Amino acid sequence: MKNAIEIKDLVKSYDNKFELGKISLTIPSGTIVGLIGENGAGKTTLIKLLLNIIKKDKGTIKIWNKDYLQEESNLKEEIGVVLDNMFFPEVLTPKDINSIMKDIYKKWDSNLYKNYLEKFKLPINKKINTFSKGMRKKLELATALSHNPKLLILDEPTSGLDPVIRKELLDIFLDFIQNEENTILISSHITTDLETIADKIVFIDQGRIVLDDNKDDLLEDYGILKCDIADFKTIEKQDIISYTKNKYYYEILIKNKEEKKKKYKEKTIDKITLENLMVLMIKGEK
Amino acid sequence: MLGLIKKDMLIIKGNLKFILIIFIIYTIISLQDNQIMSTILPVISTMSFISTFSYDEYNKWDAYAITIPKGRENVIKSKYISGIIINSLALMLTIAVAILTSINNNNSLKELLEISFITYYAMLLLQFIMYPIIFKYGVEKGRIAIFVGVFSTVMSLSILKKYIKIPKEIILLFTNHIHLIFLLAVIIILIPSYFVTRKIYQQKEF
Repeated sequence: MKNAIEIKDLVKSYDNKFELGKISLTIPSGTIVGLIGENGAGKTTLIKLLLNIIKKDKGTIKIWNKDYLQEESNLKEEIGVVLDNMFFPEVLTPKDINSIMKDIYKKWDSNLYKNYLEKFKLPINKKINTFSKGMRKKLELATALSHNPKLLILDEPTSGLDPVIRKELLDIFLDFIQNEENTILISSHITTDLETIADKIVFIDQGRIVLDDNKDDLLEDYGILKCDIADFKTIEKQDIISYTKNKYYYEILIKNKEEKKKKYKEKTIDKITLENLMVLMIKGEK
Repeated sequence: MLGLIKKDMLIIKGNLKFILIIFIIYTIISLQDNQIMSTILPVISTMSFISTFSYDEYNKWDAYAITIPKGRENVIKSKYISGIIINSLALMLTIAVAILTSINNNNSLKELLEISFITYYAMLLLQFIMYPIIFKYGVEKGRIAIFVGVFSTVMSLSILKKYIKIPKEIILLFTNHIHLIFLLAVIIILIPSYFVTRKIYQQKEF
C-alpha cells in the first residue's frame, strides 16, 4: 500500500522546553488515522508541522513520497484542512468564501461546495459570525472538501459539537474514505469518535509517540484486569503496563489479553476503550 | 493571489455603508470649498484597509492561509497590492470631487490635486512602514508603534526647527518637487518594506 504521509525523525522544540520528537510515522493511503493524546501532548504541533505552519528543526516529511517543502504548493492543492479555531475572518459569508476559493484552488468545485452548504443547511449569504459552533465546523469542512482533496488533515473537527452533528461529520469522513486513494489524519479528544471511524491509532504523550497500531488490533490486544488489593500482589510485575488504584479495586492495563486470560483464569479482564487506554497510559502508575 | 485580494476587498465591502456616508458628507463639504477635506478619503480608506489585519488576526486567518497553495508567498503580495488598489480608488474619487469643487468654486484644481496626491503618497508610506511591524508583532502593536513613530518624528522635527535654520533654497526645492520627492520616498520605502515583510512571514510560525 502506498503511503500518504511518511515522517522520519521529526523534531521540533520550543523555547519553553516542549519538544516533539524524534517522531517517525507512516500513514498509509486509504486509511483514517486518529491522533490521540492529552492537551499539550503535541498533536496540534505535529499537524502544524505537516502543513508548514510551524517549521521543523530536524527530520523529513514526505507526502505521497514528495518532500513537503519542495513540492509544497502542488501538495497543498491536494490537501483539505480543518484547524482548531483558524479560518476565514468571520465578517465574510459562505458565498464570499466560494468567490475567494475558486481563485485559489485549481480544482475548486463551486457546485460541490454549494451542494455541501445545502446538505449542511448552511445559509449562503449570512456572515460567519452569526453561525453556531456546529455550523462553523460544517462550513470549515465544506470548504476543506470542495477542491476534491486526497488528504484531509483535521485538528479536533468534532470538539464542542453535539452528538447529532458529530455523527453527521463522521459519516462524511467515512464517505470521503470510500475512495481508496483518499486519506484522513484526524486528531481528537473524543476517542469514541475515533473508535467509530479510525483504522489506525497514533497515541502521542509528551511529544513522543507511545503507541502506533491498528485500532482493531489495539482494542483486541490490550485489556483491563480488575482485582482487589490482595489479588494485585499476585500479578507479576512484567505483566503490568500501568495501573490505577480505586477505593475498592485496582485497574491494571495489560497486553496480550487472550494470553493473560489463560494465565489469570480467576480474574476479570475487560475489553478496553481508547479512553481507558489513554487514561491508564498517561495517568496510571508504573 | 487574486482570491486573497478578493478576500480583503470583501472584508472592506462590509464597511461600505460607513465609507459611503463619509464620501457623501465629504463631497457636500468639499463643494462648499474646503480643501482639508481632500485628505479625508485616503485616510478613511487606509484605516479601513488596516482593519482587515484585525479581522485576520482575530480569526487566526494567517495560520489558515498557510495551508492554501502558495499561502506564505501570496498573503504578503496580496496585502501590498490590495493596499495600493484601495488607496488608488480613494485617490480617484478624491480627484473627481476635486474637479467638481474647482468647477463649483472657481478654485485652482492644481492646489486641490496637490493635497490629494500628497495625502495619497503619505498614506501609502504609512502602510508600507506599518506592514513589517504588523506582520512581526501583530496589528495592535503595529498601531502603537506607528503612533509612537509619527509622534516622535513630529516632536523631533519641531524641536529641530527651533535650533536649525533651513535655508530658503532647500524649502523652495522641496516644495517645487514635492510630488517627485514623495513618489521617490514611496518607491524607496516600498522595496525594502516588501522584502522585509516577506522574510518575516516566510519565517513566522503560528
